[in-house]
Amino acid sequence: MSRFDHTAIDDVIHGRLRLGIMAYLSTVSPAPFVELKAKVNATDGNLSTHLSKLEEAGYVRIEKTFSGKKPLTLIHLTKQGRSAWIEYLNRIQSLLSAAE
Amino acid sequence: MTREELLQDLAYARNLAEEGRNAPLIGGAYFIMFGVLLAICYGLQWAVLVQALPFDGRGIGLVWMGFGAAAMIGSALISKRVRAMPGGAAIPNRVDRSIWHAVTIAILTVVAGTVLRAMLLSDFTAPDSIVAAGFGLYGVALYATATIGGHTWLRTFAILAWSVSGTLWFFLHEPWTYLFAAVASLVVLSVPGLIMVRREPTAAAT
Repeated sequence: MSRFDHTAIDDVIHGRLRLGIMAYLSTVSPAPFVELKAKVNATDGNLSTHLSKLEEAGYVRIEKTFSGKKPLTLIHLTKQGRSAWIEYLNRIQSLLSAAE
Repeated sequence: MTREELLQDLAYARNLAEEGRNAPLIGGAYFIMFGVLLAICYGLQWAVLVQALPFDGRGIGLVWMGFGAAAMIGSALISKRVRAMPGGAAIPNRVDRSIWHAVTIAILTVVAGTVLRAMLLSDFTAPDSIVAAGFGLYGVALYATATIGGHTWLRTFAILAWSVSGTLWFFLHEPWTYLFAAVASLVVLSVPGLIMVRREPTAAAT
């Protein structure tokens, strides 16, 4: 098996769960927390931890609001997050092309 | 990290991105409501025009004012229902909302222009073009939603809407066209609405 020099990859995105979060948010933003949790198959705590990392990097924005009387947490992909996501995909593509 | 692992991760990301891109449409209830309301109003307008009901032109005005009120109340109730559904912010649903918003504005401009013409120039046949223009615009909205979300079955209803529009333009000012439009509203709007509702995801907890 070939090995990659993956130092150029954005570590904030490249965790399996964070990758899933960014991929889903790239087409559904804002996504309700519960919807995102179901899509990436995570627990509340696990998803919150990974969202915090993405939020710290400025890639997502977490909005706490209400839908009627029920609390609703919405996760937005930020402009910076979308740029990072596109850059991440470009890097991956370059790595794969270089390895062929 | 191996190439295979990277490819697996990308496949996982791709699946999730595609789930968002191909999210089910959640506006079906609006389609059903508007199809039914329009069918009732066009049916009543036809009945007034052929004097099956004892009202004059002012009765038609009242019918459409009632339509406006019912549409506002119904839309408010439906928005509560769809708010918690998964995929509400997915691209197909955002496009769907945006294009129907634009279609509503376009129809209102046709209404304003033709009603003004009726009032200022006493051309009371001018508002007949609203129904024909409306179906043309429904077709545009249905086609755009079908394309952006990969819901190709909706294109059939877009083509039907354009066929109805063409027929209505050809027979403009004929009273029976309102009865035709009543049936067409159910076919072009309520039927796809029912299909969408059957495919809706269950409402997400918040």
